[in-house]
Order: sequence, then structure tokens, then C-alpha cells
Amino acid sequence: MSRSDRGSPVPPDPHRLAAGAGRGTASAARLRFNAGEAAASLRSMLARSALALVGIVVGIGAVIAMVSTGEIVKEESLRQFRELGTDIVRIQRQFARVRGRVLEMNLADVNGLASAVPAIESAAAAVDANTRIRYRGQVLGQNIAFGVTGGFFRLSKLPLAEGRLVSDLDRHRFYCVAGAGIARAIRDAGAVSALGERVRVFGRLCTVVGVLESVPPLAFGRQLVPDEAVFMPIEAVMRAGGVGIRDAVAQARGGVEPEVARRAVEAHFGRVRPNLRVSVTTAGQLIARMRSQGQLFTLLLGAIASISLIVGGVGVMNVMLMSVRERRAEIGLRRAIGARRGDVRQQFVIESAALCLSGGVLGVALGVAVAWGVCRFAGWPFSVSTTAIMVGVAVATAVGVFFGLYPAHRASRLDPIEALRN
Amino acid sequence: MLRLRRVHKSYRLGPVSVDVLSGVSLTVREGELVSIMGPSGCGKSTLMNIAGLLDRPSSGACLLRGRDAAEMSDDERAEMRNAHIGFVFQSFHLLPRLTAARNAGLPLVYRGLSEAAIRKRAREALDRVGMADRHEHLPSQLSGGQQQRVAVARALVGEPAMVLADEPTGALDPATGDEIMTMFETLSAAQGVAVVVVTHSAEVAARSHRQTSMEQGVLVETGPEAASTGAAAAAAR
Repeated sequence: MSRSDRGSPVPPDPHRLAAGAGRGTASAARLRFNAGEAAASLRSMLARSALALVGIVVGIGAVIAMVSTGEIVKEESLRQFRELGTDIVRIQRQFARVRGRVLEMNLADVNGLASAVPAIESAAAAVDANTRIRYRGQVLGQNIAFGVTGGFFRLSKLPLAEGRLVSDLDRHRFYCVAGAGIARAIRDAGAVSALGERVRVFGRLCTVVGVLESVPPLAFGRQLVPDEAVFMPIEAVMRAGGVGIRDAVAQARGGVEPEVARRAVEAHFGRVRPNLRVSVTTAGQLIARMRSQGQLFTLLLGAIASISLIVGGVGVMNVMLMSVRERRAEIGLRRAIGARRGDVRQQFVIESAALCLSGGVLGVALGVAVAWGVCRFAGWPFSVSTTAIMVGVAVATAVGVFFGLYPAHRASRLDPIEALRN
Repeated sequence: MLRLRRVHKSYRLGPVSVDVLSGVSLTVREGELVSIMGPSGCGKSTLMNIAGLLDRPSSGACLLRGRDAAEMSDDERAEMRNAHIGFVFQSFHLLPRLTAARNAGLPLVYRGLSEAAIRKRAREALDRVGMADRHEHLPSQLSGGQQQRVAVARALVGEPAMVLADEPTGALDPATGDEIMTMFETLSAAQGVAVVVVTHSAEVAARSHRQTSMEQGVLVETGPEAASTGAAAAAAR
């Protein structure tokens, strides 16, 4: 039949003449349209999907936090391993009381270690005591003063920027080496240089004799941030703060396995200080412990992520089923004017994915915030992981598609006649 | 154009089977305007659904442009509807979130045309039904008559060979219903589109070329002579 010879003002439509032909190739345009449709109906759905989206937001947040902290822990432990060196063992005294007295290591234990144990090249100790550090009425740093032996700076790889380090010869003198951040604060308070300035520690004046270069935080003792610390001669802090030595580091002689050095130190303490209980760990063990701590975080976040995503996904499925029921007339109409079952299915899957994706975007923001908080809490440097964000977006979309499949299938199986009936 | 041959349709209601259509035969040629009257529940809508490839007959054949609907898959029937049939409903069935232009262009989306092509043709279709100044209005901003015009534009936009209208004037006042019928007359006379109108209104039926009536599942020709008056009415305009 030809209608053009009847004087139709519109030329025959090639698409109509070739029904079916070329429809597959134009699916990109239809996909784009369906996506646009999804955005429009999404706005009306967002209000009531808020609850369902909470699950998605929390789930994706946990995914992001999980991947980010996992990556950060890995990087951080590698960095510390490199910085600390594999040849370091750490000695911590365990709490023990003999006749009412708490036993501590003493300076001779640490200083004599290198000569008494052949596997050890050198040893250093550090103590810390709480005190307010003031300069011109201003409080500086972390309210902790560190007392260190002369070898501490070399073993901890803390480089001097100017002045000199404190040494064992300084004994009880109130001299200190300032971290880069402290030195900057002193300059900000009006001094030309931190060198020669006096800060108030333990209620007494203490002269800054050296300034360190800026370095990242250490895993030594309690989380030590060298930039925000002042280092005094160990004897000065022990006397002024009334603290004993709880923490020491020793470096294995070249070519000696860290584990061998660890056992030698342990045996040495068992021999010379039988009442003092110490735990000796290698750098490798230290880092392994840190990693397992990180893995625990990852496991916890992973559990939160899976549970929330399932709960959120089921919620989204519910919202979509409700939406399908409410839009029966629309589905019937679309089928009547030529939508195939696949078109209807695609439309609802896209809507579900878009819904979850919008929750996912919020979740990414939440996850980055949580990762930041975890890093701050654990004292690790924070960085935003692009992998984490990509994983989050992909997971959100996948959840949307997965939990959208069933409602979309239901929509596509609706009988158009039933659906159109008022 | 459309040929229904001895179409039967029965539904199962529990243990009993109810015949809705019992042997309906109907041929609609291009450019023909056919009306179907009859009481509620007599099977008019079922007949329209079968003619519109939305439903399958229990027995008998439905041929659209020479192709037997029974031999088509679900997707093929969707494609045939999209390419050859325009639907107009009593309750318009416009999508409330979409503008008039988007509503009118909807069938073309399923042909996979580009956004620009769809817009252009949707505007042309709206212009043809006298809605040139309402392209960006939402259905809720339009009167019933205007909404039905948009629905007619949606039925026309794909240049169908046949328009199936199920009580298109049922929800409109007589004057507006008249305008809709005039559009159908123009469509059939000027463009050779076959139009089938189900109606309760004798005035609407009187304007068709052929009047039929459905009773107890059987279709009867009631007014072949109406063809001349219908044609005359169209010519007078």
C-alpha cells in the first residue's frame, strides 16, 4: 500500500516502511533516552527512597573506608619498614612488681647492651613524660617531653637541621632539640631562630640547642610525631618527670638476622635482669602487628558494607516494586506504543541503578570522611584513594542493577491490557 | 489494511469459559473511518485489543497489512504496533512527568530515532493538532480537550497506517469531541489512514464512513449509507 500517492504532505517514513530493520542499531539513542527518563522519575522517587538509600550510603561508605584504610595501612607499614630498617629490634619492659616496686630498665641496661651482646651493634632508649611545653606564654606541641640517649636520633633516622643534638654528656642539663613544627611555632611567636631560645618544661627553662628536619610520624613507643616533640637528655627527663625506661631500640650488627638478634637480647635480659620482664620484637613483627590491626579494620568495614548493601539493596528493590505498581498505566502505554519487554526492563534497571548511584555518591563522601577519621585516630597519613572511589561507584551500580532486575522483570511481564485498564 | 476473520475470544472464569467475541469478521481499508457502537461489556475493547495486537484471539485470524499476528513474536508485535498503529484512549494516558512534546514523541523513542529528530517530528505532530503554542506544557497544565489533542499527536507522530481510538470523545464535552472527530476525518481523507473509533455517541458514529455495532460478541454493519453522509460532511469542511 502506498499512501504518498494520495497527496500526503509528509513523505513516508523509512523507519515505518522498514519496521524492525535498524532498530537494534539505534539502541544507543534509546539508552540515552531511558537514562533521561530515569533521572526525571528519580527526583520523585528520591523522597521516599531516602530510607532505602541510607543502607546504600552506609554500605558504599564502608566500602570506600575499607579500601582506603586498607591501602593506607599497606603503604604506611611499607614506609615504616623502609624507614625504621629491618635490622631494628624493640625492647619494652613488661609491667612487673617486686616487693612493691615497679621494675624499670635502667640506663646501664641500655648502654651496656652493645658491648654485652655481640649480635647488637648499638642501642638507644627513650622515655616520655607529660608536661606542658610553653614558650612566651604559649603552649607548644603535644604536652609530652621526650628524653633520649645520644644514639636515639641515628637509630630513629631523625636528621638534624641546625644546631647540635643532645648527648649523654648533657646529663641532667635542660637542653633540648626541637622538632620542625615546634621550631616553626617558636619563630611564629617572634623569635628570629629557635636556636638559643628558652622554652619552659617541667616548670624550668630549657635551652633549644638544635632543630630537626621535618619527618613523618614514627611507630616508636607511643605514636611519636617528631615534628611536634622536644627531645631532652634522657637523665633530665627521668629525674624531672620521675619516669623509668620502658622502651629501647637496638640495632643488629650487619649480617645478623633480626630474629637472631632478638633472641640474643631476650637471653641477655633473662640472664642479667631475671626479675625484669621484657618483650623484644623485631621491626618485621611490629609491622605485621600493625597490618593485622589494619586487617581487623578492613574485616569490620567489610562486614558493615555487605550487611548495609544487602539491606539497602532490598530496600531499593522494594521502592522499585512500588514504583512498578504505581506506574502500571505508564508501562501499559509504553508497551502499546511499541516498547518491547526489553525496553521496559532496561528502563527500570537503569532507574534502579541511578537510584543506587545517587546513594553511592553520598556514600563515597561518607567513606572518605570515615577513612580520614580512622587515619587521624591511628596516626596514619591520609590520602584519598581513587581506586576506592571507583570501587564504590561500581559496587553501587552493581547493587542497583542486581536488585533492580526482579522489579524490572515484573514490569516487563505486565500484560499491557491489564496495565492500561483503569 | 486490517482484516479480522472469524475471531473468537473466550475467557476462563473459574470452571466456566465465557465467550466475549464469537466469530467477528471485519475488514478496514486504508482511508476508511469505521465506528463501532454497542453496550458496555459487549466486547468492543477486546476487539480493539486484538486489532491493536495487544491481545491474541482464541481462534480466527488477525491480519495487519497482510501479516498474521498469530505468527509474530511478542517483540515483533511491539514493533508492528510502533510502526503501524496509533492508539487513542478515553483517558488520554499521557505521562504526567513529560511535556506535551515529549509525550507526543514517545513512540519514536522506541524506533531509536535521535533526540533532535524526535523533537522535530513531535513538534510537527503537535502543530497538526492545533497545539503549536503548548509544546512545553505538562499534561496537568492542559484542559481535557488539549490533552486528547496531545494524545492524538502521539498517535500520529509515527505516521501510522491505522489509528485505533477507544472512546476518544468519552471524557470530553460535545464541542471538543467534535474537534477530535474532525481531526480523524482529515486524517482518513487526506492521508489515507484507517481509523477505527469505538463510541457510545450516535453523533460520533454518524460521522464515520461505516457504522458497525457489537452485540453479544457479534459485529453487525448498521449503516453503510452513513458513508456518503460522512464523506459529504468531510467535504463540506
